Amino acid sequence: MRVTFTVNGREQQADDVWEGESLLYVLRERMGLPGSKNACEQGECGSCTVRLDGVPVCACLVAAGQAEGREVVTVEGLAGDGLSAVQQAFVDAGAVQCGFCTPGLLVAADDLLERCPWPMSPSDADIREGLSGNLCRCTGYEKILDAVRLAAARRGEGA
Amino acid sequence: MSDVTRIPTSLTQGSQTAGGIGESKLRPDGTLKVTGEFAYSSDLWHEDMVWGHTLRSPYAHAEIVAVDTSAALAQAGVYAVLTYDDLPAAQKNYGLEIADTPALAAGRVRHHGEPVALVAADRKSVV
Repeated sequence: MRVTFTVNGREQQADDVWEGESLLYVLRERMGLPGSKNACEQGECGSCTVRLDGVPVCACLVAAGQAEGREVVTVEGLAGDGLSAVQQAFVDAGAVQCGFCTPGLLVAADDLLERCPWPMSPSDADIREGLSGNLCRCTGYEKILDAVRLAAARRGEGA
Repeated sequence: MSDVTRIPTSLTQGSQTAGGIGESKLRPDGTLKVTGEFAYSSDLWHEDMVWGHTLRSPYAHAEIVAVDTSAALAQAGVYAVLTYDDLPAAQKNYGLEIADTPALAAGRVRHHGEPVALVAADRKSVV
């Protein structure tokens, strides 16, 4: 079957997609967007987190056909001219180690901060809940929490 | 969303002198990893690439009486099926200190999941 949906603002199409094929597979293997990572393939680890019509989902658990006509944002779509605030905060706070969980965490953090616009500030509990679906095997959670706090705090600068 | 927000811990620890001991350095691969551009092995792609798969032992300890690769090789799209005998002499065994671990099992498997054969084919569905 053919699927057509918008990825990072651009309409994309894939042909000969098998009915059981995941959105993650189509993004990585058919659309040349390997930023979303394939790890557990069962929605446990969050490495494949993308936003589907704004909602964070595990792309490994979404059938490609379910994305038909909808909008997908992956880690490749976060940066504008430069890094987005949350991407820059991850680099600055030392929240990137092996980096395999990073794309999923960035998408989850991006959603969290969007749901909590300045001057609201996410509490530590909010951050932990927002990122609870993303596992880091390097166990670098403290720096990851720091990065989200930093991104949230920086929104106030120059405002 | 309100409650407590902890202040980010200081981004620099230890020495306050630029270039001094204890200065926090940015990761050289940090930017590539936050943009999704950093290519892990499973992200690599090439126009003419073939797909590989490892056949692994379902037994913890067993003698390999025979390996027949003919049926696999006869399948359309299969480029190669490699066993221990196909490995070049320098690649037959590996090990950190002593190279005594067979890269592919030779005559005997010694653990569940030990690699026995490698398959390369033009489509993922074939391997």
